[in-house]
Amino acid sequence: MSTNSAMEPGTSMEEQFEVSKGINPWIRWFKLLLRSKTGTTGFIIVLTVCITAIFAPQIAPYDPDAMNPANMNAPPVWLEGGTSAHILGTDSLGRDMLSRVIYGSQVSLLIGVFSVIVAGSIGLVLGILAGYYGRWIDNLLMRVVDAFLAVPNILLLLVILGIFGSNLITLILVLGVTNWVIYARLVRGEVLTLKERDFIRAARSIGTNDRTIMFKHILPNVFSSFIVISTLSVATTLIIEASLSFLGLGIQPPTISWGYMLSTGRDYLATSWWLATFPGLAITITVLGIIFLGDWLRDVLDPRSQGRRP
Amino acid sequence: MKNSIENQPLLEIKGLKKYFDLSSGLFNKEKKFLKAVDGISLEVYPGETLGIVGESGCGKSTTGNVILRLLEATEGQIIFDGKDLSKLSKKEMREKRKDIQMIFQDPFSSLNPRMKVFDIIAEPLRSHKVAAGKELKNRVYELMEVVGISKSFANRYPHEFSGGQRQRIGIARALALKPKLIVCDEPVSALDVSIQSQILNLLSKLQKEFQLTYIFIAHGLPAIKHISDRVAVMYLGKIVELATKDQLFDSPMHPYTEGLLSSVPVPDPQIRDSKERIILEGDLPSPANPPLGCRFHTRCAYADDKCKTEEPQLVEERDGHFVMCHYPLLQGKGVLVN
Repeated sequence: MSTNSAMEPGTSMEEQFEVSKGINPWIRWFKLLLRSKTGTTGFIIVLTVCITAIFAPQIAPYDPDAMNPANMNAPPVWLEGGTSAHILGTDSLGRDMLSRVIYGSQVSLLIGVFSVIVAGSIGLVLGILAGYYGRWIDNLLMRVVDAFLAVPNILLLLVILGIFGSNLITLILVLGVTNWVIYARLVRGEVLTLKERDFIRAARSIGTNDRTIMFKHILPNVFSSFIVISTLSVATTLIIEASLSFLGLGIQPPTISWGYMLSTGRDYLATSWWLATFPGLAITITVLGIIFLGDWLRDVLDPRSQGRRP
Repeated sequence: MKNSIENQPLLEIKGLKKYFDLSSGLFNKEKKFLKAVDGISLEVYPGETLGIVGESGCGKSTTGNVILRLLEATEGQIIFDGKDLSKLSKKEMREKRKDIQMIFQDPFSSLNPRMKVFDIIAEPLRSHKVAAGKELKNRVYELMEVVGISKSFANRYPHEFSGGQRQRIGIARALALKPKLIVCDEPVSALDVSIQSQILNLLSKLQKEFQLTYIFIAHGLPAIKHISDRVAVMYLGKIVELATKDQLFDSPMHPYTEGLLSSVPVPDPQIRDSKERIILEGDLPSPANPPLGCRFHTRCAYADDKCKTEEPQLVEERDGHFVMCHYPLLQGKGVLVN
């Protein structure tokens, strides 16, 4: 989509079409989005979660840390004993669940998205390099990948977090650094098959330099699988973050994340199921939204599926 | 057309070998090689089309890839315009690539599915910074016109085109840098027969228009006959016969060539029935383990003990007609002359 040359006004359908396409990329993208139900749904979910996270102080009805010993483990409003004051009930310390879920979105979203970005970029770059250059670079990188795969992720996380301590930035970085291997593997495999395609050989025979081949020929062609893996990874990352909280190495209170709420709510599953259910639901819905959006993005980036345009 | 023989060759290949290492495993000390190209020499003169023909696996495409250094030669020289390509540094080779381009076999795999036609054709021009901006645009449109694709398609993606049209795009890309030599690696074998002749005619037209030299690799003789001036027949990594088109098609000297010619379907039943068919029996032996002596003796109707032990050399039996056979066929039609 780089060279959108404005063509001279012609008579043929094609030219008219090309011109109308070149007006404003933002409007064009938005129109493409509205045409897909999946894309629209995903976009609305993600947008809602983002707005919730950004405007949490304005939206949340209570301070998420305000305890109320008189109203502990209150059920959601539609159950017997629930009050409209606390729509989603309260937790074991009498804190408002709705406010906590709203505030939790901040940290969860940051961790989910940014650690995937960190892991994805490392994996993408190393995977392309390994696959494209082959030989010793490939051997070296893949042995490193094997080493990473041999050590259980959670163990690695525990060690690193144990040494550096746990705060938001370290958590994002550490989750990124431990998860890059799946991307590297996937991307390398894709590159290996792409490398044998004639258009890569054509580019080499033309004299196109390696960097351009990697950016213009390889990257766009591995992007769709990459998007799929990335969006799915957001979910796993949120779960890993939850288990870290459970082990006491995740986000430290009073900061809250959905993962943290999920792991603390686990203890009350038999008596007050809503403590774990609502943060869990929040994770599910968010992840679903991101997957929908990723799915749509993958489709749009593939020129072959653009035949659906008017 | 063929007085160009006296000229300096544009490309000279001397003793070219390409072996692929088959030995695998850390502890396997035994070295095994697949001899895809096993010592071939040929010359290509400016303005001519040299056809290379042979069965699948005979090393013809490997030869093309080695000339462009998409594969590195194991041994031998590739002298293009007075310089040995196999000895050039990466940077020098990059410069040289302007003069040698390639057209690929599969038009569905040779174009990046995520690039627009404009960018595909502009790629060589951008890579070598030959043109930019308005000039680049004009040049690309010009190329599209030359190969017969409407410039209104510039913003389309390859999947929106048919095989023949895609091959035209590939040809436009190969032409962009005004090369001297184009290696056509089976450019029509993936296309419908009706489209094949269109593409062949286009290639002929372009050759006249831009004084191009072609190395035309194919496994089908009709295409070779249509476009070549001289033809090299390859068998198991070696050139077994090299002659002008007329010599080769009228009076082949190698039994293998005879068999290949006889395998071409003849549309007229009367002519077909009057001809004796020579059927090549058996399969191509593995190039990892070629037969001793003459490589063709396992399938040759005329082979005797000498053929099984002694390897023939490529010799000039007639003016400009080379053959690698102990008992070349001298009257064409299967007459064996000792």
